[in-house]
Amino acid sequence: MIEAWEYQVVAGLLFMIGTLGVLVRRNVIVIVMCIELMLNAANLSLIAFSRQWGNHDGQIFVFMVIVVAAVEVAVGLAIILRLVSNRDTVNIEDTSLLKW
Amino acid sequence: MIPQIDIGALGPMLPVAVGAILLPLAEVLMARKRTFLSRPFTQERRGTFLAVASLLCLVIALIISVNGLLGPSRVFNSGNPMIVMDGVAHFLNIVVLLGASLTVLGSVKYLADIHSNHGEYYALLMSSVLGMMFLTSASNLMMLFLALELMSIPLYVLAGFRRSSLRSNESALKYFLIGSFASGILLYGMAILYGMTGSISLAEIGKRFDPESAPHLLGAALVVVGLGFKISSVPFHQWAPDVYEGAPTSVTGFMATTVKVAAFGALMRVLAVALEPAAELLYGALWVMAVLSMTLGNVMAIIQQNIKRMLAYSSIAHVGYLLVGVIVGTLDGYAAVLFYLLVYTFMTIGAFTVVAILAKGGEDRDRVEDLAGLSQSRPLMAVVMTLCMFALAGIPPTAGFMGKFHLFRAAIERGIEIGDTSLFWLAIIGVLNSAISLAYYLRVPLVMYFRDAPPTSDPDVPGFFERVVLLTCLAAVVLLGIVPDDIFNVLSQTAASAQHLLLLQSP
Amino acid sequence: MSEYAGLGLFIALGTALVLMFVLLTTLLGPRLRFAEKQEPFECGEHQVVSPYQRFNVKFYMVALSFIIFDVEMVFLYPWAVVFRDLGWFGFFAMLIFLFVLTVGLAYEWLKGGLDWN
Repeated sequence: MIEAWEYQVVAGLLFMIGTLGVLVRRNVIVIVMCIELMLNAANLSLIAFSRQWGNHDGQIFVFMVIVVAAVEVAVGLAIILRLVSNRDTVNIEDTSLLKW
Repeated sequence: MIPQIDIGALGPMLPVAVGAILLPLAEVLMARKRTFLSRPFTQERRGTFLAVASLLCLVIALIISVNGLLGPSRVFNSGNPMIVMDGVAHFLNIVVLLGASLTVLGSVKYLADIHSNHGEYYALLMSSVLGMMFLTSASNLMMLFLALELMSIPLYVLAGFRRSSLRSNESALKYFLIGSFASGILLYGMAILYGMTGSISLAEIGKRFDPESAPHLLGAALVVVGLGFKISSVPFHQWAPDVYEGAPTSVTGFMATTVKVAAFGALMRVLAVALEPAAELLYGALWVMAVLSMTLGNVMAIIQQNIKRMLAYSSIAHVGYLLVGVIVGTLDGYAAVLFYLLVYTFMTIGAFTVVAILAKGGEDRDRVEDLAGLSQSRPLMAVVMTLCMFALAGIPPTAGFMGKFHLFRAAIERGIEIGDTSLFWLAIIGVLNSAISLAYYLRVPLVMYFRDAPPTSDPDVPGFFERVVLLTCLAAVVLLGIVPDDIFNVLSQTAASAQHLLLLQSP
Repeated sequence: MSEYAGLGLFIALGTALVLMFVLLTTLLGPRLRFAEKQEPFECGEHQVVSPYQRFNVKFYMVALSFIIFDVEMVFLYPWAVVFRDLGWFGFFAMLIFLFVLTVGLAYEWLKGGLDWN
């Protein structure tokens, strides 16, 4: 039997991996994947809490988050496609026209 | 089982939603070679038509909102309140709608000037406005998250609207990455709050929140950090100057004003309702954020050569001023924030519109030197820009002064009331910062009035729509400075009615 | 036995629907014969190539619109479960939702997002 808190540990770890990935990685696609990981960590956490409390609020929330995440990826990939066709790179460090 | 639904509560949102859904269809139908009308639309006429159509939707929504502000508060679904249309929500919706209307008017010619006159612009703008309207009225974590995303995602696209411009592209990428990173943090904070209290309703969380427990506080902190990114307060501000500089100027004006209006609405609601038990700890953190935002924003703005970038740092400083009112936390404090948001919208959009008019031949002219000699060639633009700069700096007869006066007065009165010196310090730091800000705000009128235009300069003439925007901003900045007391009293009552309703609502 | 009648009807309707679609594509679909048609996986790309090759960007367009419209379907499942309790209110609420989705699809179609070329 998996205890309720164990889900939270996994969710917390996933969230930390996602956050670290966003901060450390330089490839835009990987950063977007890490952001998705953060959202899905929150999803896992919501579902586990939902089961723990015995109400459906968390599960409904997760449906909404799934859709939002899909839309975010769609828009994000479109922006990245423009980046690639304008500059032929997916490295975040090459986008440095705007600073200070 | 069937929920008790009051569709009328959504009245202000419906015209905007209809616009957001139908405008893209109208756009593609008009773009076809053969329309039901005999001759096809040129791109310019199409842009004007779509702008007028979206303006119509916004104005209808504005009328309904003003009507709602005068009437009683309404709840969309009283059994499980997700959307609460109280006085604060109506007032902030009015500010958002005013800002959006001015943006639409200011965009028509600018979009043609930068060769990006695509009809989707208006549909995206309307979607974003819809998200903002839901954000100001959301009283439930799920609604809050959805509204925030509905507001942000169209803005990512709008920031990159000049598809072939490298700077616009980079701006969109940075905004998207930071924005969705912030959403992730916010969402995890919400998940923890839900897990600790078992509810996603803000009122219910406020009842069960335990300020002694570490996980409760972690959730609260993550939510505040997420919202801190959205309002771009220091230390979560790094993205703002880059994004504001690269985005098309009309979009920048929109992002700098309405987004902050809506996000401050959400922040006030979350802090006053859900996180009320943790007020003391959180207000300590917000105090630091406010001081850092004011100081860093103003200091960094001094060294900027690009007006859009300067206004971006200035907007960070203004977030600091606005946070003062949120920290005060009294009805007067909230009323001062509402008033300042209204004033801030007019003065910032006025300034950005002047910069947008200068764009010509597919290029932005957004350096401070580009304004040289404007007082001779385009006196109206120079006057509007000067007054907006005076108002942003908080020089007395303008609306900006009254806004700051109310904010700092609320802080000092509250400080006397509870004998808290930190609030005095906040007001003092705010006033000192206003003095620092004169250094860069006054540079703009100086360049316009005392430096001769370079011989090649030929600033563009404002079109009819842009003239309307300029005159509206001019009138608002002057009038709100002269007769603010009546409005301010109304706002105090508005804030009071909202608090009344928020305390009452419990499922 | 009567409680299985619904199941039987479901199977019959499902089979009929599938047969109808197969029939319709054979009757209405254009018939082209060339070498690629004979390959085991006919998806627009050759099967035996280097894994490092670049894909045509049009695949992303299709994938993006697929994701958007596919994911919206998660809302239909919980709705279908409580459909009976919600009655006409739920029916019309979902109708509005589907209408908004259809407007999105119509926009994409008219804009040419579904054209391969």
